[in-house]
Amino acid sequence: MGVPVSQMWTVASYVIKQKLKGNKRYPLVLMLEPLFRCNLSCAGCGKIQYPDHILKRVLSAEQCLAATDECGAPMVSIPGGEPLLHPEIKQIVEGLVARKKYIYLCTNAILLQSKLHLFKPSKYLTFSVHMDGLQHEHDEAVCRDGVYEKALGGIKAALKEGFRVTTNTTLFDGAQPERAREFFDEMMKVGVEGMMVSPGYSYSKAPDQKHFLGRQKTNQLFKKILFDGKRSWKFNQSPLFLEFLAGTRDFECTPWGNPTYNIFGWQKPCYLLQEGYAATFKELISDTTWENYGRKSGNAACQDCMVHCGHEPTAVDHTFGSWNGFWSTVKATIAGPKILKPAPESFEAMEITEKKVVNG
Amino acid sequence: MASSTHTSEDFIQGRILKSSEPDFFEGLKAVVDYRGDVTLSLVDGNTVEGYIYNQSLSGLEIFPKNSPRAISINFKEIDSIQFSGEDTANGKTFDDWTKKKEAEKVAIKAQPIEMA
Ligand code: SF4
Ligand code: SF4
Repeated sequence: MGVPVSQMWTVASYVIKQKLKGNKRYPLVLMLEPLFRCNLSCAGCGKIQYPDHILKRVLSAEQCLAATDECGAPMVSIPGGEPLLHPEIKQIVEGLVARKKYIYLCTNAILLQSKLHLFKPSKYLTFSVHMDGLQHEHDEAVCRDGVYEKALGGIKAALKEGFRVTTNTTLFDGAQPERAREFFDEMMKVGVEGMMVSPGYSYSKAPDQKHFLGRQKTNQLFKKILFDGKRSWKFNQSPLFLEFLAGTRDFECTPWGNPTYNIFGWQKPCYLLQEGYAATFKELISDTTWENYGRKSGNAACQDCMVHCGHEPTAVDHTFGSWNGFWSTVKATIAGPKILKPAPESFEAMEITEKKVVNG
Repeated sequence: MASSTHTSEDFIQGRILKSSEPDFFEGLKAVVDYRGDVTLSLVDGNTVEGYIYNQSLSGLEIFPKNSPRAISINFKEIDSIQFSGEDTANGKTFDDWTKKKEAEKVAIKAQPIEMA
């Protein structure tokens, strides 16, 4: 099963409505972080490093739903922390389904199987399972042995009960393209609806600071992974975003596209940076100096960032912003994203060095 | 404004930032960025220990350690700020994992070939 037509229609009509209203800064996906506590400590994660009393705090279901209403985005992603540890996760999901929001509940799936009874299968609810590759790569990324098998068990159980399940994969420097391709084959075999991929963001608070990807390396890696991609692979994200990752096209960041709400308030300016908090969504939009963010701004924190939460909304906006964008998306959906052939290894090293000199 | 003389290494656990320091407002950036608890000593003699997550135009927003609600404290009320709690973003977890994996590799290499 692919993304339901009703979801595509909801997103398309929402974006077109915003365009007709002349609303330049509209939210597409609310990133709702109801807690920071997690049952893992992944090397590339910058979300969980807080004192214990902060990790014990949660947004109530009421606060989560009020933020959803305030924001108005048609999709809600629930990352964390681990949302399945939240004592009111059932109520949060039920409230969002009642509001007809398309939910991506992001989980490491350690608890998925044991908590499935809390939820009812619905076209509005998708479990987006954190899988950073096959067993070796995933267990290494999450710094614990046995998690891959546990997560796989959770995925299979959820699929068996009729839930929508996708995977979300973050790739870091050193990722092996062939292994990533094998992983895609494996996930398709397991039967997930689609996959999401993104390069890791170099969180200043993440324990592992050595393996974040620069822009050129990201392009090379995704070219190698996606070139000549299999027809069987299904991605639960814009094909234009995949083209962006592989360097076929360039996008600027749309930081307001995926606004983040957590126990501290509305995070400025995006899911990754923490440059203060606004008390209301309106204040976030009106008081953030958006010109200071994105690659063009020259902000050092944005130069190597190609993360989906900043750039996927740009891809979606591009799709509905012009005929050219629309046809590119239709073409890429039918024929697969346009990915240029990766340069041979020896040229690649030269290319990266040269680009560095030009930029430097 | 004169540029700050502080570097991020200045703000480690134990450091005290006095409101009388010329770079106090520059130092506040590090206070908000710190992923550990701090202790505020107020001019009225009280102290507040907790996690500072935001700086507004008039003061700091803090989740006190033993309170369910966040509060705002005006700059004028602050005498000093101590980086009192452990910095939770010190990379300990990843180092532990890397060491464990290295030890496993060494143990495998040390095994007789038929057991490896
Ligand atoms: S599972 Fe997610 S939230 Fe938890 S430590 Fe890993 S990346 Fe962070
Ligand atoms: S480029 Fe990345 S870090 Fe910068 S604002 Fe956009 S999402 Fe945030």
